[in-house]
Amino acid sequence: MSREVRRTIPLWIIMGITGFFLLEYFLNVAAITGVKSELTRWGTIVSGFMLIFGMVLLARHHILQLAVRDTGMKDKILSVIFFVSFLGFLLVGFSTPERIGGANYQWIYQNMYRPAGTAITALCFWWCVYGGYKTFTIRSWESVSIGLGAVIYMLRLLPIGPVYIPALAPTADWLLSTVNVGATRGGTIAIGVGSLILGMRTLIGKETGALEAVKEV
Amino acid sequence: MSIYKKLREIPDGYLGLLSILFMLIPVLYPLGLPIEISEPTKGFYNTLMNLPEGSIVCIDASGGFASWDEFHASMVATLKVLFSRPIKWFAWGYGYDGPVMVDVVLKEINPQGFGKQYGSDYLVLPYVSGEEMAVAAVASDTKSVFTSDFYGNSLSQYALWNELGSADDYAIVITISGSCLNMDQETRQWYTIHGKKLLEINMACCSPMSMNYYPSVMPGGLWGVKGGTELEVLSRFAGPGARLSDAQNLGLMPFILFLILGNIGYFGGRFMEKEEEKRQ
Repeated sequence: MSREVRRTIPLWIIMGITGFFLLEYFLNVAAITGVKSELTRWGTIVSGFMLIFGMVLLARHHILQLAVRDTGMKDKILSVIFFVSFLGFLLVGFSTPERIGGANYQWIYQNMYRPAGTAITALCFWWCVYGGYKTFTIRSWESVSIGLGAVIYMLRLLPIGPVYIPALAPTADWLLSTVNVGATRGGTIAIGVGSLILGMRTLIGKETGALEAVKEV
Repeated sequence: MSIYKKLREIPDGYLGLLSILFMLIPVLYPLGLPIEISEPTKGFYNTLMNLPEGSIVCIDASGGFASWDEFHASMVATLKVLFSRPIKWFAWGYGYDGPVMVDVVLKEINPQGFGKQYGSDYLVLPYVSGEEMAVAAVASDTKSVFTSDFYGNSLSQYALWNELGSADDYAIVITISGSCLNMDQETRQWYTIHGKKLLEINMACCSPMSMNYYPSVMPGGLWGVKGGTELEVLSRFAGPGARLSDAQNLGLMPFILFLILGNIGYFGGRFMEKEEEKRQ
């Protein structure tokens, strides 16, 4: 397929759908709104199929890890663990008419998946806290403001903080609602303007990141 | 090694062990430490209590089990408040854990004890892929997105299903998420297009980002364990928050202590180096 076809067709599809969504937003016409709702629903269906596509890619990667690539025993064991858990969840999920609502699936979900996820988050907390201990040293005025803000906000987060330090609540709330909001709203507006520019560049074909990279032979 | 250098190089194991010990104490022996109710929690509670009779609330449940303790208390207290009022709600999720979390909380509390019936007073719908696209689809035409409920049953048998339509039919949206950018997305799809205000349940670290929208778009929010505990106290519905917030109270204290010790070590070390240079 030629480079022009691989770029032009997707670009025109993106331009067409985006233009239609923009029209629907500004014109309150029932027919256009109906089509937009249908397109949105199709978006969720396509997204669901992309999940299946992602699963296929993941399975392919691990099959290659096991059967083709020259990888170490540790990587092969990890790929085996992936297949055991992936196929296990899949088979149990489809084994009963209740699907994921069934007792067996819920058992492995609540007793294996959920504790594993919680353990990973707990480890992240551990490393975040240690990282804070190592990095929150007062080396400059900027680090003073970051460190002070962090300590004040953390003490505010503790339910016991405002009870025993009455000045903490109004100070922290002022930092959160005035200083923080001012800064983050500025950031949000900047993100919005940047997204608008990126979208416009994509629409006129200047931004190739959204499209498949075309490799010249 | 000088004391200051030792303070700067405390092994991470000690910090973790101290945090775990501090957190274990209130888990085993609840302390009942006092708590002050914040304005966003009051806004959250008052908004739900002021909803007219017969209102329908949409719950975007998309948090994750990995942060279960951040959501648990808030979700339990929120559902109890919803059940205590003559209003209806339905939950769905654009995160795959969301509907499961709602199901877990429903099994924990007793909807029948509040006189509520599944299908006529509340409904749990399944996960829909597509992130913001899913939110847009549900907001514009809810019925077109779902064919069965979370338990695999046909939806046409439920009275509440027949009352659902689009965002115009819902009084307010409660969004449960583990993403700090959640309010940006929800505001784009619910508030900007349909004018629906939002109440948020999120992790504690996400409150600074969500405050952008308080109180005009988001009249109230619950962040972390503290938010859930505050709602428990305000609504007088006991839940897991008290025990968890005691753990949070004590668990973060070693962090603040080590932060102070680290800075003492840093400045002490610099002072010692300068003294050494002067002697030389």
